Amino acid sequence: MKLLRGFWDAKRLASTLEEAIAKEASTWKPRLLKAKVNQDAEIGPSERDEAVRWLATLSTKVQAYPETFAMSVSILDRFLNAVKARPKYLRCISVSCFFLAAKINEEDEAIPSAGELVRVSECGCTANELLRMERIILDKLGWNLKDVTALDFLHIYHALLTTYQPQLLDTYTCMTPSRHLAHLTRKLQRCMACHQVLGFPGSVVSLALLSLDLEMLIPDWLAATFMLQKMVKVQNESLIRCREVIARHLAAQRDMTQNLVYIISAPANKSAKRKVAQIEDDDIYDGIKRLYDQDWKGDPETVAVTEEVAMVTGGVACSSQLRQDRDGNLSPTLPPLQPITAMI
Amino acid sequence: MQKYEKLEKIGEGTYGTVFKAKNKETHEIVALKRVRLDDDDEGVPSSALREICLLKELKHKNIVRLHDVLHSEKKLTLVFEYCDQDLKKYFDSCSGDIDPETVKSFMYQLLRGLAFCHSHNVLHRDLKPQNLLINKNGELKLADFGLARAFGIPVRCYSAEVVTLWYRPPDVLFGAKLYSTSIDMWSAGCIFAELANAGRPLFPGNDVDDQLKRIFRLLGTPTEDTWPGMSRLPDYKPFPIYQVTTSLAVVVPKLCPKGRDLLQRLLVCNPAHRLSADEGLNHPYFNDLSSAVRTG
Repeated sequence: MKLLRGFWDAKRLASTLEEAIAKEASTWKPRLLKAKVNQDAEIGPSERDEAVRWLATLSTKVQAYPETFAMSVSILDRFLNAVKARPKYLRCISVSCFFLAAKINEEDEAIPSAGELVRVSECGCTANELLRMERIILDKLGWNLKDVTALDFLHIYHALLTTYQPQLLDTYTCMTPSRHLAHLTRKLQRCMACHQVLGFPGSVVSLALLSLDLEMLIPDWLAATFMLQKMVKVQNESLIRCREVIARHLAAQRDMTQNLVYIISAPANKSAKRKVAQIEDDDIYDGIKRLYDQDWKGDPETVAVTEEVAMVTGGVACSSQLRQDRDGNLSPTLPPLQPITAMI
Repeated sequence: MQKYEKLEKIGEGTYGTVFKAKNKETHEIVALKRVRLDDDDEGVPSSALREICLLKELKHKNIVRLHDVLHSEKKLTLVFEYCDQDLKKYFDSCSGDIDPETVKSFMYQLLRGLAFCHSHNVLHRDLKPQNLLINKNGELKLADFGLARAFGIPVRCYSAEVVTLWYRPPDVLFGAKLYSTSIDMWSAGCIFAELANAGRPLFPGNDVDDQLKRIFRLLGTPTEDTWPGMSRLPDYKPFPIYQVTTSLAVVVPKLCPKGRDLLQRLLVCNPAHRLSADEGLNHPYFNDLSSAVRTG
């Protein structure tokens, strides 16, 4: 897969970043929903967040790409800002947003039918209602479905880090770039269900998330953050505020469900030999294992057997913690977990 | 449909009928692509949705311009700029001869449109003469983005059921699902040869097997040495080892040596070694391109 790595060279990444920043600058505005005055007549922030969590579940059920989920949330937020809709239509609106995002991002053979979506999602509306809603959304948004999302920025940042600082996660023998990105993507998906982040552009949200993540993993996290911050020209204040919002949200979720966050820790330990990870690669990597041509750092045999995963937070039985992670696929393939005391 | 007066039917696209029409107010001539929306359908077809979303972002002189989208209960109409004909019809009308300057101009414009798509992270995935529009000023425009898609940084598996057989690259013929901009570059090479031969298709295969045989007979059967990973492609099967016996000079006799060199660099079985659109534009073949085309 040399072709793919060679393709996204520094120059191309820089121009893609520049284009994304320009597009965001021309289209982005804060889309914070106001707290409700009338309970039944309006969709408030908590309903919106619930709808996003519901979309995440639907996305997992139909095995959609993370880009599809990200786009459906982007369409949903723009639509909710453009119209006043009653809460009883929220599921129908959400599933229609998802249908539109799937038609654009997924290949034809992977797009679920309207009937299937209605059935699987249990959205409570009919396929015909879904299609009518699709028309309303298209008309309200003037067919402008594609918007640059936080996930787009995450992809660019991550590729830039991998290009400029390939040794960044070298101490984590099994943290391949693809695996790290899959881990970040899941975290970002959880952040999308937090309406407060709608007050920040996607470029800031992803940078804040990435810097929080690096802070847990490596001593040099600040330098790496600065490098990206300079390229994106994000103000310190905005970045710090966004980091606070995200850290609070992820911590609150963790408290709520005992655990949602994990990190991969501990350098190579040859005695802990286990044949893991390789069998169900696709599950672990969310289908992005072939991000770069050479995903394994060193000998695949060694890498596969030295993985150790540790949970951030302590105590509770690991298996139950993992099941609570949004990525249901993780549980069967990960090795036993070690509680550690690190905090976000 | 009050705003436009339908004049005549032009053809059938991948998902709708195309009409020539006139804007009643401005008298501007446009092309209307009409898509029926039936009740039991899946709403707006994914191909139309992708075409609209992609073309809204791809504004370039070598890409057909989408002016408007009209959406009613029973149908969807896409309003495009009007072009006089497609390259296929152009071939039919020029009875076996296209002068070398026109070949060069069309190829340059094709690569320029393609370079723009690729720099905006869009794959066309259905390049063929029918999807290249020509207007009377000799301008060429990429059209029909019904199979096109945006691509991102993480490598995703895409459909191998793309590109019309004659213009489909060997990696996709072997079922490759991890592909990138190189998919369009092969098609561009096939179209280049067809231009040089005034409309005679280069590899008019009958099925996937026949298609691969025709390709390998001309270019030689690739090996794991020339194309590492080939034998691991999903639908790979071994083919007889053909040696290169025919020079490209025999295949495209009217094309100059520099043109043949460009063609040779586009028609490379291993996608990793195929020329990119940007590299193609900088090829010496275009050194003496008329400045009107270069800047036009």
